[in-house]
Amino acid sequence: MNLQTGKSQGVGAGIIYNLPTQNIGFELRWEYEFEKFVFAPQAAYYPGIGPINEFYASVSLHYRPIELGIFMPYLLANVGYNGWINHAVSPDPDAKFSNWSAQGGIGLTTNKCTRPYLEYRINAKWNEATLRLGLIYTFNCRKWYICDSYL
Amino acid sequence: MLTQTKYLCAALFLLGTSLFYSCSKERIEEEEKNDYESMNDYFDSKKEEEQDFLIDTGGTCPVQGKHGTRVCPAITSIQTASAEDVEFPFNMHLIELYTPKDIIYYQLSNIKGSGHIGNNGIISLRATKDGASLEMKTGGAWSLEMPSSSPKASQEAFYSSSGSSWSSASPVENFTTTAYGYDGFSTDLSWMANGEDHGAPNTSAKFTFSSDKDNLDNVVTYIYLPNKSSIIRVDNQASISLPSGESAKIILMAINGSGDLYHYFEETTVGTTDTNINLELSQISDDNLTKILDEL
Repeated sequence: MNLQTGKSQGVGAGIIYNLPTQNIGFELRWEYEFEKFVFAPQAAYYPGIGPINEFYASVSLHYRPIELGIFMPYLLANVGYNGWINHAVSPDPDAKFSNWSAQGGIGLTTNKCTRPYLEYRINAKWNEATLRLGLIYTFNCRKWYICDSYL
Repeated sequence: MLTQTKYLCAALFLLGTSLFYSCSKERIEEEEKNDYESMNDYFDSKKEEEQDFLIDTGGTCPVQGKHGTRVCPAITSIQTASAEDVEFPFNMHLIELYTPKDIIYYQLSNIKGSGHIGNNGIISLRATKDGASLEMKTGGAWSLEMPSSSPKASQEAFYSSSGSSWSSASPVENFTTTAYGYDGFSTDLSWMANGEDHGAPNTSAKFTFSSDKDNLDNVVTYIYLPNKSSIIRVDNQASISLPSGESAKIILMAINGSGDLYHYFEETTVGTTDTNINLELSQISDDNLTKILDEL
């Protein structure tokens, strides 16, 4: 018997920790699941808890190749826009407000209707790693059991 | 199950490599630069030694240094610090610098006012008696010859107490050309350069130096103008004004706390506007650095 999730949508919020800069940020995301993929537009804001004050508007694509019990590890790619509000604090003379953003990483979530997620991402633009911990609430959550005999 | 294991391995590999590579603080912290030590000990170990000669009644004139400088140290031209005549014996001390490399090892320069001189050789003359310094009398002079296989006309003597900032003699002391090289005299016991006053250039530009990787504070920088025979030391990462269009060889040298040598070398042309060279020093062996200096 396999436990599978169907097509669904959810919203979530999380906290972000930027490992090298020791910056703390917050994010909101919307997730739309289809088959083994998740499409996730999102926004993140680092209010200045740490040296950097910035925001991101981006979109992620998750790929969930396997399930390990209730856990679903996934690979993710993310592209978007970065507004670096206090770029003047940087020693880099080329630092500016508007920047592109591209991130890749791995994540772990569950197949529950309200499910936590943990992501580890690398920002290719800044060469910085972030950890993200959050919770997704799935609308109209439905799960169904499929008997092996029907597969 | 095998496929799942592959995915897990790939994820763990990605996590491991990214942990290693994704810890940049460049956005908030200035990158730490390589620091270097003073080059003084290195140069002192390489530089020409001062030659000491005991001048006594039995000697003959001239005295010849190992690089061919000939000096007639007339006792009648010198005096003690209290303006008394000197009696034999006394000591003459001679340093001979006939290549850019030897001039660099002494960290001298050819700057004169807002311009520069070309040099056919630099010597240092000193005299002492019982360890006390002697002086050249007013109007006194030691005749000297400096070797050259192709001596140039209209070369004059320049003097400097430091060997870096030069002045013409007053009146100007010219060398004459001979089969041996240059024939002239020294009216001071100090550094003396045989050369040509190139003056301040009409059209000029400076070189400035910077580095994102290296702290240039202890880096020794020289610019050699081969067509002018001028060796210019760069202080505080900015050269003096140099003649536009002139060929230039730029050498930066540094040594770290472990005694490893670093350098940057570039052959270029002086522009019409100031040029900043942003550079990164690279490690070099003693032999190869010496070779570069030999070939300036």
